[in-house]
Amino acid sequence: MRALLRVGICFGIAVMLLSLLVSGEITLVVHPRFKGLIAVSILLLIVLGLVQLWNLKRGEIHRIGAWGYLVILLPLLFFMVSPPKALDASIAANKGVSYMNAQALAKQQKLSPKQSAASQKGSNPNDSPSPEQAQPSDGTEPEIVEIDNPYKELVPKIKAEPVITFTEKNYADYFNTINMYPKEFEGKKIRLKGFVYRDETLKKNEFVTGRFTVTCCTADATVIGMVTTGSHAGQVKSNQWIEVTGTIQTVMYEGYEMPVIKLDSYKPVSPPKDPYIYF
Amino acid sequence: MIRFIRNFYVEITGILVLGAFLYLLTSGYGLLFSLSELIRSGSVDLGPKWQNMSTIFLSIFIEGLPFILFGVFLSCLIHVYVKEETIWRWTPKNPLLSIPMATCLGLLLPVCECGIVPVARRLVQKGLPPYVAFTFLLAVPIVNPITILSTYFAFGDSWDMVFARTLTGAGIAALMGFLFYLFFRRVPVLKEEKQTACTHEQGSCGHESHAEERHVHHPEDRCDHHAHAEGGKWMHALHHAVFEFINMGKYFVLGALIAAGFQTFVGLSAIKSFSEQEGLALLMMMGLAFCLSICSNADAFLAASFRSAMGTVPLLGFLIYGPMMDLKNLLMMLGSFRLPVILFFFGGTTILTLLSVFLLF
Repeated sequence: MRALLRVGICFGIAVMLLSLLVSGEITLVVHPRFKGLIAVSILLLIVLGLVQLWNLKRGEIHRIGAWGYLVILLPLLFFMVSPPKALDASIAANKGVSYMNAQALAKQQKLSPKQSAASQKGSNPNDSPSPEQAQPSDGTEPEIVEIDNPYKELVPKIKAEPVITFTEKNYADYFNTINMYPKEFEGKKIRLKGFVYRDETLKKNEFVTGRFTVTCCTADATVIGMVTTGSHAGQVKSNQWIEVTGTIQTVMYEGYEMPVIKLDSYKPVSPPKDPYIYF
Repeated sequence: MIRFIRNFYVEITGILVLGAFLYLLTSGYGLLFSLSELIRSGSVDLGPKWQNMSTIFLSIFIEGLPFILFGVFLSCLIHVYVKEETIWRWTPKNPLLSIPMATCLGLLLPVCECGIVPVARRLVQKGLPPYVAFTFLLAVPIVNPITILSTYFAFGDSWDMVFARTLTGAGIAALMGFLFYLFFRRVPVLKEEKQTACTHEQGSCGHESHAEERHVHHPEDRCDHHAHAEGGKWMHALHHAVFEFINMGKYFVLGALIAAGFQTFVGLSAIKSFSEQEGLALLMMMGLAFCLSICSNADAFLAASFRSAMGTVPLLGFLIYGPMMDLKNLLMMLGSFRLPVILFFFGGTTILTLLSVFLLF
């Protein structure tokens, strides 16, 4: 009986993976580059199931307690009861949100590795970045390393676009480039989709237009996004998907330039079928 | 006819099952879609929190599954092809040589922490000294080309973090290996497997007894397809792999479940409020690394998302401790090794990580 259960487990998981793979929903849980690996594991599971099927008469080799079988059946149960859907903004705060220049952060940490977290707290990007707080810094202007920085090459290409439009494919590249060289893009028009994220550290007339990025699986998803500000930004509902059109501005924040979108207009859109950005 | 089926039932079931899967893959879209429609209609709306948790749980499970399967099959390969003498010949007798060798093995064998436990366990069964195996267990997830690359990319293309992480991790692994050599040299480390009805007196399932050479095959009725010794060995190893897969899998699932629950119901924001004091932050980040159980190939990206709130020290704690010790890994070890060994292993690694991160950085 238990030997048969083992066969069922192997084939059951294989069918679950296969249906995710065929329906394309696999990208809701793992990065698309894992597709090959998933296919291989389906094959391996079939092999294991077959071997167990051929050895059915010999029963289960080494005992596994009943709770063990219950636990291993959980993924199948979860899959049945609530099949994977895209993460929504309600979990964004739990997963970590970043809208600050990565280079600037790296710099800060290099300069002050021993710096206590208390003073780090002061440079928390959650402090609302507004022009009034700008601290003109003279000597500590971020000198971005020019050598082999792939984003530098993208600057002219992105600048050439009349309206900088973020798509699924270019999102990560464009986002990083604009974050690294905000001055270059000052005054450019920009259009992007994302969900509206707010937390208590942002001002009333600010929100983050964000997307989840996935590097491996949904468990490591984090939000990247641009701070969007404007007089009517306060009316935009949280957690809904919108398409933002605006102008890039830079604000000085903690001695670093940071791009902000000045909101011109927005319209609600339906969430894309595959809402993640894959690195 | 019945006789024919009985003789060839192995081949027949094989063809049937493969055919069924091929059908599903090629023309079974409709069937699979209706299946998923059926699932959709039967699914309960549990609210966004549970929905998110289910998604995260399945994502950890599906992402780790290939690596567990690779681990299990690698262990199978080792079982069939690597002889105990080979291990004895290739492992230096001097721990001063063998332990550093084990720390570098990860560069050749890029297994992440999900797949490493079955491999390490098999190597111990094959007679690899436990201190070497445990060094290997600790070092491989960190000293690993994929982990190194992902850390490099996650931290803004800088090598500082990579060096700090890899070297400290390797150092801790080697030190743990030596401590193991001092204290556990003569102690059996493997948990005895609960034996079953499977006729044991006759020496079947005998690969636990290190009797590979005189491994007489099962005197059972259905042995006609075991004509070649090699084939029979494969069949036996694979049959055992089913057990190993489910045995490892149950701990892995449990770990994934707890990690997903933590991610949805507690969240990273809880940790950020502790970032005022560095010591506390370090402890919290190590605890987080333990609870989240993210694959070592990807955890650097998550750590990078903390840069805004944390100093370097807690981040390093997260990056070094996570691959060596995490919930699902510990649960998998509980299924394979004896409790005192695991307690020593767990305690030692935790203390060493704390000390080294505090003293070095």
